[in-house]
Amino acid sequence: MLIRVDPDSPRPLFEQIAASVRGDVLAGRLRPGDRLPAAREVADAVDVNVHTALRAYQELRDEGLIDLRRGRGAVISASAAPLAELADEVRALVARAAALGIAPATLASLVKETTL
Amino acid sequence: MNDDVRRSRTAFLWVGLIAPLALLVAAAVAIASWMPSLPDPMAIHWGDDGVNGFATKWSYIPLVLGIGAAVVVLTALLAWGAHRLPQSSAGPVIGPWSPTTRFMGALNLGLAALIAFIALAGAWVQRGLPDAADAPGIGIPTLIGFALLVMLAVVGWFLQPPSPVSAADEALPAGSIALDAGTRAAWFGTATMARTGVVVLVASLALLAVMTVFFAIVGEDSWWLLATITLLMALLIGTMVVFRVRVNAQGLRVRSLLGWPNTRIPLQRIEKIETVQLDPLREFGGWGWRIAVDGRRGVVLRAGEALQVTRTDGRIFVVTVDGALVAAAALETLRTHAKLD
Repeated sequence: MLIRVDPDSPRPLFEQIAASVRGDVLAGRLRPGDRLPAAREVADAVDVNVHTALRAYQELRDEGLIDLRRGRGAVISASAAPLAELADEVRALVARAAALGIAPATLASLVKETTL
Repeated sequence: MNDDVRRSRTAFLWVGLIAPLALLVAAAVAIASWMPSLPDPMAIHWGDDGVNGFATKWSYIPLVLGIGAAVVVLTALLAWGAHRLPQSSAGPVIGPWSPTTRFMGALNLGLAALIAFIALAGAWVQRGLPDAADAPGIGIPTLIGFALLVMLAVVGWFLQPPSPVSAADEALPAGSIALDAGTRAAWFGTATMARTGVVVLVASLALLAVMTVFFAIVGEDSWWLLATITLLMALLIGTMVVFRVRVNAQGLRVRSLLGWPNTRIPLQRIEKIETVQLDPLREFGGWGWRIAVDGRRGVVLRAGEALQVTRTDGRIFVVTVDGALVAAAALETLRTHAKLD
């Protein structure tokens, strides 16, 4: 699991941690059942507050990507599996948007607002 | 299977299994032919003050030589079959034959010679004695037995052809990850022992435990020593089943789930970062925290991809961990950033 955190970015730190885990799930590097390091471990490794790492994990749990169990720590949930299946299409869409000169933020809000 | 491998396997079969068993059978036949002149019960164990263990004379052969045969067959089975067992969930099974198996074959021959010779000597000194308690010591024959072990192990080694060289496992230099200056990165991974390794270690532990109980029942004075060794082995194996691997601005840390052993290599002490494919049994002679014949050391728990770090002092550390490519790239990028600062 690769965590990247830029303290100078306007993006909240907890969101950057959550995005790192999400990225690994999307790339298939993290699979259902894989154990994540304890929030304290993560916080210690990238030098952020424990509560920041915990908040990232809670965010991921609310998205259904991980299960948080007392004593067992954080585990990638079974419902995370479909995410990896989307990986190729997401990559293709991002590449296409970049080719058309659409900013990533614009693409993100477009995706968010698209309803079926 | 190519010709080299077939030749190695045939040589092992003769040197490591057939010849040792033949030695033990020959000793059994010789002792059986002396049976009429042997006392009953016979001495089966010698202590500092002479004989201190007895058994009925017909149990001498199965007791002394049976143990030898069991050791020989178990070692041969392990050497013969270990590479076929699954060693990791991903990646190819590598190397069907190795210096380790060649060594096991040679050792088998030496061990069989030791056991056969001591059994012969032990019976020889009792021929014609009315009471086995009067049997003279067998200190000198025991020493000769150990000399035989070394000699025949050396002979057994050279009777087998050199191990076939597999396609050179090339070390791949580490790549890099996208990382802006000022961005912090950390990579986490877990190294878990392959089932084959667990089975082999637990089986050898069980063998030690059985020997301890056997020694305790027989009344061997040194049984507590064996018990201590068994306990230490159990603890040691316990520390080696799962390791957590971490890469961050502090460098590489590989720590057992139990907290020890714990290896830390700071970024400034790293000379080179690579990924390699390796095989525990072939290159490291087993599973766990290991030192290889070529001087590499590290945590070797399964076959397949591994992170390999060369320190500035030349020592090489490896750890078999899933995702080693990303781990190496992250470590390399962090090292580059640390150098720029």
